[in-house]
Amino acid sequence: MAKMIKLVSGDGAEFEVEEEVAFQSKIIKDIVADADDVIPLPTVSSKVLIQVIEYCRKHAAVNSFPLSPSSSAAAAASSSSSISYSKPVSDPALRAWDNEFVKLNNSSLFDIVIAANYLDIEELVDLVLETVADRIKGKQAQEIRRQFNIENDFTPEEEEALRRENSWAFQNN
Amino acid sequence: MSFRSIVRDIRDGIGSLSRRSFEVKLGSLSGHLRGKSQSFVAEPHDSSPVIQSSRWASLPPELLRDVIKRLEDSESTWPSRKHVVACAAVCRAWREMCREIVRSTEFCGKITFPISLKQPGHRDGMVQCFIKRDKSKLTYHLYLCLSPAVLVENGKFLLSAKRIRKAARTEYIISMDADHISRSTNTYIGKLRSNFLGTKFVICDTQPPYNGAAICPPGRTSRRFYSKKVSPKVPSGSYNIAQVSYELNVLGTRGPRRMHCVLHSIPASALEPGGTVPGQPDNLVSRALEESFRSMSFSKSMDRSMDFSSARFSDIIGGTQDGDESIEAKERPLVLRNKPPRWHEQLQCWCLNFRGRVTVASVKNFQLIAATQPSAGAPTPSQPAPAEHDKVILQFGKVAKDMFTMDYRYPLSAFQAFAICLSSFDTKLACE
Repeated sequence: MAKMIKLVSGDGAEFEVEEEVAFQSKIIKDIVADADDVIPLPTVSSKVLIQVIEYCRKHAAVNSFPLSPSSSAAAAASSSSSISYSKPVSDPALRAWDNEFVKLNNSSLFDIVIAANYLDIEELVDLVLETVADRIKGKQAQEIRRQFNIENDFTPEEEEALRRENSWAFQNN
Repeated sequence: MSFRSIVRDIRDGIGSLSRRSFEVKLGSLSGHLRGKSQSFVAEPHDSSPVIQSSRWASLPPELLRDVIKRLEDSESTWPSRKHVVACAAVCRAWREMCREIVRSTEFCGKITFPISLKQPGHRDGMVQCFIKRDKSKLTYHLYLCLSPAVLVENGKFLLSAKRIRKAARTEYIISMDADHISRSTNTYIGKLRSNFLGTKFVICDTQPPYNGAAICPPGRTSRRFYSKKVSPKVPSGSYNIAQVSYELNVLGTRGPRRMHCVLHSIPASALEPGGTVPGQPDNLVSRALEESFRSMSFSKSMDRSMDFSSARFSDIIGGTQDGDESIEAKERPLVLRNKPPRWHEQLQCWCLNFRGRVTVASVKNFQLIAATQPSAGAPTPSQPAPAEHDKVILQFGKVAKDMFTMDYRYPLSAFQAFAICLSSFDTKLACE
């Protein structure tokens, strides 16, 4: 009988999940060690928590039922971690699932990365930031600002210097 | 209500792209996990108001650093390195983060922002570039090599130069714009000026060197290039940062000419262990070639250059003679000379080892090394130099018609290297 952990979102919804799913979050793992299995998460809304749980469920399943020696080695190593960013997900099926998972708008991605950062779910943080980096690539500054709703806080003189800088960088031969 | 249906309701609100596939997957997942289906204990209250606008501007710094670091790591070569430059133009927070993450050319060997062109080259190895000459337009374009093969014209544009004939001398205008090369634009970054005979050259920078010693006296400097187009806030000066001279050697025109290069903006101590080139910002990025970011107060050297612009010329010119006690031995300027070729008896020609980077014999080809002080006693040209001072700091040579390679390293900058190479094009010292 798997032990259940209860997560309570910021707007009061309760979600009961298996321990191994909840333990994808290092924070929760630490808290539960104190024998406390109702965990309030006031800064995480239901909408976001559902998505995060979905991710954790998928990754817990893969870690529990390794499809390949490499993923079981990853599971074994995961507790001792300080994995540097961008440890690639080795299982192609899981990578494909991850890529589908992040097909969200930038606003949703923001909420997820904030929650994942708060809950210390390293792989989810990596996944979202990698996605964001990909979305930035290939865009000029103005487009990046538009996409991510970031205000341009440079002065007109600075803008002028930036124009020159960018025009040099994007110079075609 | 089942887990699946609640999730479906919420996802309808979210507007996720692949709703249906998610539902199917969730179904199969719950089946997968030991046949249990999860159930909610309580229903969510009225959800908090949906926030439409993205809050990426308030991303915590450690996450912003992570994103930019990923980008900087993956876009390490040109042309994709331009994406790092684009990031640094998004907003101040992003620019600041780029500034922290991007390392200077001196240490990482990569050129990222235009400021890299006026900062010292790589300490461990040469930065490889090539120069394309257009004889009809009298222009020269400097590119960073993007592939090791010498004859492949695959490069990132760095600087351009245009030759202008004057009554008593020639000038080369140097610019960061490939198409419009002119002193009256804000992409003008410096020039090379020659004497009438083409034997002595002066490299002029629009930005001052770290010491005050090299400011051009007003009488000699032409101030005609102060144009209304240049923003009045931008100090567009003309500072003598280096001199290059050419002489025939003892064999006259039958032997390779001698080059002598004095770099006022680089102390000789830069080549000593632990030496540096002062006057550079620790992190690049923040400085555009013009100092319009002074309000962000990035580096001491920037503040110092502001002082130059407000100081009176008469105060500055007499700088070195003013009993300036800080001119010690270590502040001697760096002097470079060309490595003398060896006479190859069998081939009956003068040879320098360019390590494959120069393939066509030409009197313009050269290698510059540090000129060492003669030891007490007779100065002999065959005196063995300390190993550190035997490194080739700048190498230039022909590989095809109108195509030349230029390899440089610390402590020279791309701008200085380019200017020195331009002098080699111009010097009219005849040589067989």
